[in-house]
Amino acid sequence: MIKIATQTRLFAIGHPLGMVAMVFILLMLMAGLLAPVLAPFDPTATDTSAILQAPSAAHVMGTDEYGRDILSRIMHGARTAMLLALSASLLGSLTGAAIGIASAYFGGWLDALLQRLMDIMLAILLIVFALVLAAVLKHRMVIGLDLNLVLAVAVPGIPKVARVVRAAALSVRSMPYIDAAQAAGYSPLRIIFGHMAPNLLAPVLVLTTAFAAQAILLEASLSYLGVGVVEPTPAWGLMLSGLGTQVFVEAPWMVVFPGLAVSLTVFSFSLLGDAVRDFMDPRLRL
Amino acid sequence: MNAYLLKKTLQVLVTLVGVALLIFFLLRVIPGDIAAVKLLANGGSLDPQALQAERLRLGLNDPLWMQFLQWVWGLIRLDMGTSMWTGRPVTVEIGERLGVTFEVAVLASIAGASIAVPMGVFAALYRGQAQDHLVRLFTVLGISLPSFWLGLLAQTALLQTFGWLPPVEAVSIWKDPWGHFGQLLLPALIVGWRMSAVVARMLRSSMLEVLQEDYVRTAKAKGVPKWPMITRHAMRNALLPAVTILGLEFAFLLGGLVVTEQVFNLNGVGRLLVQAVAQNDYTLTQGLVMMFAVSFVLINFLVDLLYAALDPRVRAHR
Repeated sequence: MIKIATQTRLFAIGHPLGMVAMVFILLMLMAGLLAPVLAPFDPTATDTSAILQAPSAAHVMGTDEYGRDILSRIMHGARTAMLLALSASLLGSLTGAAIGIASAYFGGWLDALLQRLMDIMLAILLIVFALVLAAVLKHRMVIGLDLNLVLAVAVPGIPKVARVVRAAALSVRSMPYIDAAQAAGYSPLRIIFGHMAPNLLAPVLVLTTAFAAQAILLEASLSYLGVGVVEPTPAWGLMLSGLGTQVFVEAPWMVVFPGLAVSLTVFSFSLLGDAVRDFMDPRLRL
Repeated sequence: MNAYLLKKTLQVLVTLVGVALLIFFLLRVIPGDIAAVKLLANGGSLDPQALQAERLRLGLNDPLWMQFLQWVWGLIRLDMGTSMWTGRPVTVEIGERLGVTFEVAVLASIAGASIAVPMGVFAALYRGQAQDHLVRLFTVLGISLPSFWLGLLAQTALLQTFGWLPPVEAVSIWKDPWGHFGQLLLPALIVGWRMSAVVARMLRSSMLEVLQEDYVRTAKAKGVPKWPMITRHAMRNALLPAVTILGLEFAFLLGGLVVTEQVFNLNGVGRLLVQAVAQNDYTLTQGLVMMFAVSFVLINFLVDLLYAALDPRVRAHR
């Protein structure tokens, strides 16, 4: 516990921007998790007497064309976005890391096979792959989380993680202590988990943070295009879907607040990723 | 070099066959039946006989492996079949829309490169100083701001300041070149920003690497003035990885404009994909994905070859 506190303090001193980003992300996460308690209104409740209202004391961020409270929708949207992004980035980067490590450790035909598979996935371009997957898999809700959407966001990001981790794992693999462990007769699993994985924690952590930024953006884009989160679940991309300049001029709050929510969250994850990378290994930042 | 070329060519072929397999079978697990969707959309009722006839006409009753082989055989002859929705050849559907996407991608790359080069170089020269931090902020913003939101902001700003918006209808380049480019400028700039972010970051780190090389120190020592030293000695080598990234990003744009085209109402291949996916149009969707994959893989291949030709170390390593 003390070690974590010291590390956090060091991080905050060396990377104030990264710390601000981390605090913002935690706030968003709290807002999302506590949305059912904290949100002033029901995010799906329509109110014909309060349509398209400008921000006021009652509706801090105004209301949309159905009289739904924007602030409440953004908070519930944070819940959707954060849950999805965190599970997709964990799933995607852990799978990618496993593939990268297996590639580097075993080499040979397994490596060749996995590398070709990653090439194939990369060739289907991230957004195209996610779009097709989301459309094909449709939706499967499990305790408020669309598992199939998680897959659609996680899978296309796997090859990038696998490549970076493979390169890092190759350099760890060539260390003398791996030879020593092999000579001592340790099993491959023990070497991978006990000796290689701890040394790959830093790059995987950085990749996971970047993955989360990308996942938020991807989910918002898919929802915007109409294949991601579906009504009535509140989602940031969905709130912006179909809006034109007309709406912006007449009801700017409908456009500004959800857009800021997406942008600031992605921006924070990106900044945090940068800061974590510098903190973990200053050499990486040439 | 020949062994290298052969190996790379084989890899390209394996990748493309893999993409074809993956996308074909992925699309076949869609639960919706295109034949049923189409009949219902035409206002008809679900007559089992009509449904059967439609399925037969679309070739959906053949075994899957036969459908796949037929498709691949067509691909080799540059025939992607006909769209299941409109009934027109997929190549025609794509051909009509490719121009816009290609133009935006080219304009965005030009914009991206011209922003990225000075930014990357300055960030490297002023490493750790205010300029470096500003560039960093600009690049992180570039990869963070969603294009659908940024597009809306830019359009509204344009409308409010000049009372003008690019026309929604496509304008031919031959009839009205200014109107034509006016329509593409905003999306190109927005996509270019994102692109410049990626390239500038790459250029910054390769510049920093090159600036530490012995030959740069030698140039400095023999009294080459600062700017000629930077542009003629350092940048020449530092640009190589940045150009690689630019090439890959361009390849990515041909399929990656899905969202941007939607925001700016551009009738490109990205929007075509969204429509094809929404309409369960297997043939059009797989044709588009294949087209993106082929251009992505080929541009990658060319960049690799170019790299190997320019930098003998690359050849030796593989």
